[in-house]
Amino acid sequence: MDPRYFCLICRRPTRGAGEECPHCKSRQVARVGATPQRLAIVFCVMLALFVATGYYNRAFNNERQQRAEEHFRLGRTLADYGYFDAAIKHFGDALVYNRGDFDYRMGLTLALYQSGRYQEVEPQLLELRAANATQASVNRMLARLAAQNGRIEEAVQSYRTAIYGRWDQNPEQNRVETRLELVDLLESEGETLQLVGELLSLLREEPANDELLRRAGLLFLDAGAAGEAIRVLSPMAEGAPDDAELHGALGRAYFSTAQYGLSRMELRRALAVRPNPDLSELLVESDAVVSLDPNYRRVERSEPRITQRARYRRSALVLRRTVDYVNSCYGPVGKELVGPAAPRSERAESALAAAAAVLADTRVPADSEEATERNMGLASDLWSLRAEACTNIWDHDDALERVLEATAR
Amino acid sequence: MKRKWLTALQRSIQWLLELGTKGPVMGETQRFLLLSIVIGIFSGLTVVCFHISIEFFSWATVEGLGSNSWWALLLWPAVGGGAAYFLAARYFPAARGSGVNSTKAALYISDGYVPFTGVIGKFAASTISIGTGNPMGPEDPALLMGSGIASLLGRTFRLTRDNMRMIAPVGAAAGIGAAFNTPITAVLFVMEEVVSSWNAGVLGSIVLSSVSAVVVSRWYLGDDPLYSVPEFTLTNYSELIVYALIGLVSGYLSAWFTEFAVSIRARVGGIRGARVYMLPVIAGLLVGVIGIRFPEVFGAGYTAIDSALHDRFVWQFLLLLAALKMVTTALCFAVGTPGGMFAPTLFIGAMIGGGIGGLAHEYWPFPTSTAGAYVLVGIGTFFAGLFRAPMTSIFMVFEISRSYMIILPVMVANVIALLVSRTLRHDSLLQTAALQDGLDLPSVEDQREALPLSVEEAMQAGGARVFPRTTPVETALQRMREQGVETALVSVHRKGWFWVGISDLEKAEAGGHGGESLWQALSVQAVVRLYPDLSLDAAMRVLAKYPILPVSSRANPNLLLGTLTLEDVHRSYGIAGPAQLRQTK
Repeated sequence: MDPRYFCLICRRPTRGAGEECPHCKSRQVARVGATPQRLAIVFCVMLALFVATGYYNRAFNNERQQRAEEHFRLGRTLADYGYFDAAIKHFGDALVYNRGDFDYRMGLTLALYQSGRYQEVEPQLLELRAANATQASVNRMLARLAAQNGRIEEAVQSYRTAIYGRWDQNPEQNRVETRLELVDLLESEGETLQLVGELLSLLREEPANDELLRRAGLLFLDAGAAGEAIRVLSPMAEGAPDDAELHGALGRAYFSTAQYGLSRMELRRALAVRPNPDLSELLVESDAVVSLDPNYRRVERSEPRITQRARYRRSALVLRRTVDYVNSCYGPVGKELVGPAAPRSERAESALAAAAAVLADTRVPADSEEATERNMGLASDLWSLRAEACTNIWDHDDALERVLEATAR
Repeated sequence: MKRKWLTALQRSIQWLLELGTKGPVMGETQRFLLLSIVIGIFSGLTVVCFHISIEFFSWATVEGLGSNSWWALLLWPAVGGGAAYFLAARYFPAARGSGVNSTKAALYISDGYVPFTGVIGKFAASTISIGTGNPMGPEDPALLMGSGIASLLGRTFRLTRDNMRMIAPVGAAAGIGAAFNTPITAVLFVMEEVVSSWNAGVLGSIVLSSVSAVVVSRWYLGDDPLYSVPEFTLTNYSELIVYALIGLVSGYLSAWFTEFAVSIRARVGGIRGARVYMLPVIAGLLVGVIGIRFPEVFGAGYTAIDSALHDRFVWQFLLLLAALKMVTTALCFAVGTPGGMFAPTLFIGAMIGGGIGGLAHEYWPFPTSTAGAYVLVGIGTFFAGLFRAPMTSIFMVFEISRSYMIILPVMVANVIALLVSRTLRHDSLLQTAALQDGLDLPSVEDQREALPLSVEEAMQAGGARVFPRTTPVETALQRMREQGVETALVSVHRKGWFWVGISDLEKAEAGGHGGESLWQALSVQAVVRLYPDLSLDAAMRVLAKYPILPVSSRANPNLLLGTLTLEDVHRSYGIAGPAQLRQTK
């Protein structure tokens, strides 16, 4: 058998050209393989088919695009007029014709979202995100849905992607709005640290928006960033003497940062415009600190200046209250005593003895400034003993504590 | 300069003219591989045209003129189904039936011959049928088109019989690859469903044709997968139980579907004459009646699957759609409406998955994904149960979703579907349909599972027929006579085994060498050794040369495990060997 030749009838190898096939006795024998002419014909047919398919495909694509555009336009018009169900159908039809089009799917997604079909929105959004991960509006919607469903971490992540993503229209405004949404979410979830971070970023992006500044200032205050709140709110408060909320917030902020004089001033301004029991209580506390603090520096010109004698008297008062406080911790007659009194240490004994000696002399010394310093130093020493002495005492002297803390600082 | 150009041109023309008189320009293997690429390109182009034609037809009928009038929706599938059937039955009989079965018939019966009229007929009839809303898919026709084109090109390229046989599966892979836009799935499907035995050359050709077809298809239609698939996540590992349930239900329903479809097919098979043409019309009418209220059942159903993937249907509706599609598809398949079963099975699986998933999403005690994820996993389950091609179904979903996360649930669901379906019904739908058509095509699944007998199962363990080389001739002869055997092995340290026949021993004894050792008295012949895991087919090829062979261990080739003779092989197959036959006589 010659493997180069085969029978055209039974397709088995034959003995050679012109020989009879030993299997089917046919004489139709051909050489294996295509001749170059056949190859050329096949190649030409292939080319022709390529061209024909190209034309056919172009016609198909034109028709498909035309139909898709028509449905998309209709869908958009219907959505503009609030006919969301009909719009959804048309957007869906547009996608049937051109599944990969971002705008069509976005239109469908928005229509689904606006009609409240949230369950259907999410898969669409995920697909849009898969197609374009940095599309900010998609990420914002995903964040909203995640927040609605209680997936907070995912929501925060999506919000952040949206903030730093690509916005097709009004990028600045959209970024600020999105960050505000994120801030609201973080606030509602009590994520203080992240909240402050977002607020700082927000102010960097939009420094001149009064409404934003006020909101940020108030949020800073709620988040415990009183210094930032003062930085943001104080310039605004200067131009708004009748804004009770602003002055009240500043009063609270100053109080938090141990600026009791300024706090008292702002709280008085706020209460002059609108009474508020919480602020009144805070004012009382501020007053108590201001009237006790020997180092107090007036914050308004209208306030009387504190003389050196007055400072000494205040320091003596601070020392007396400290001694009373510490004695009440050690003393067997402590009214709140619930357990055995702690034994007095040697240090406590000596400090109390020194304080008693100072307090025994009721005259104002010649060098009252130095005496003031000494009194405050003694008071601070005694105050530091409360950790060992006052384990059982529940009654606190808040004003004294604040004064001594301010002195220590 | 001018003269040089003219000379070069003249020489080129002369070379081209001479080329026409020469023989083939490359060898058979290279030609086969090159041809696979050409087949892929042709199939890809044809499938692109086929896809576009279906769309055009659909826009002109159920999605165009008929979309606003119920009567048009009612009538188009009937008219289209009837016309397509008439066309196929009257003018293109080669286009009737399943493309998979036609390809298998080409491979196993007609030496790779698929008439090209089948390609033309399948193209036209399926375009009309699917385009007018009949619930069939374009993949099976595409597969046949690929086979037909491959067969034509094989004849054009004058392939020999062995290569011609393999050319149809190569074309089938190209057709299905272009239709599904999934090259791996196409290769696996052909391997699982069409070709039972293959070698590296065939695999290479199938891969090449599939890839080139997919490239052409993507060139024209884009590289989007069949469905736009949302991100898949496995929310909770308890979801695997739900996925297993999907596999269970799909497997059960696929067995039921097969039973239902083949029973209708058997009933309508007896109808003769003009009434046959009415059957697709009636089936089309039923499709139209359902389609007026549920247009999702029309056509291949890709759009509906896409909507289901995006959670746009509630679970009750998904289950209803699955039921309706099962009934309409089974009916259309049974009456012979042109079109394939792939897309409908994907539709049914997707809807079953989505339905069960949606139900679980509402009532499952643990958090679960939305129905869309279950739709995606469900896609392949019904397919796996119906076509008995689990690897194809798994990789199909993997290729469509392009998500690694999905593999675990898909494997669970698909394998369970396959096992349930096989337990309930041995033969697949296509196999039964082929039998109904009078073709007893081999089942690749059965061939795959029919393990060949191994040497271990036939050999005689131990060394009863093995003598050390120092054994005296008379001793060996006596023992062989006692055992009633005619051949034995002589073991020689470090040299292996040698065989001796009883006649040789008798001659040696007669020559007065009875007291000598075997090694001294005889000129023995060395034999090759076998291993227990070798197939008996491989052993038989060696037994043609040697009457007895040693079976040794692969770990220690000098360790004898047993011996094998032709009688042993016969015994293992349960047939009487020559010795037994002699005894019987």
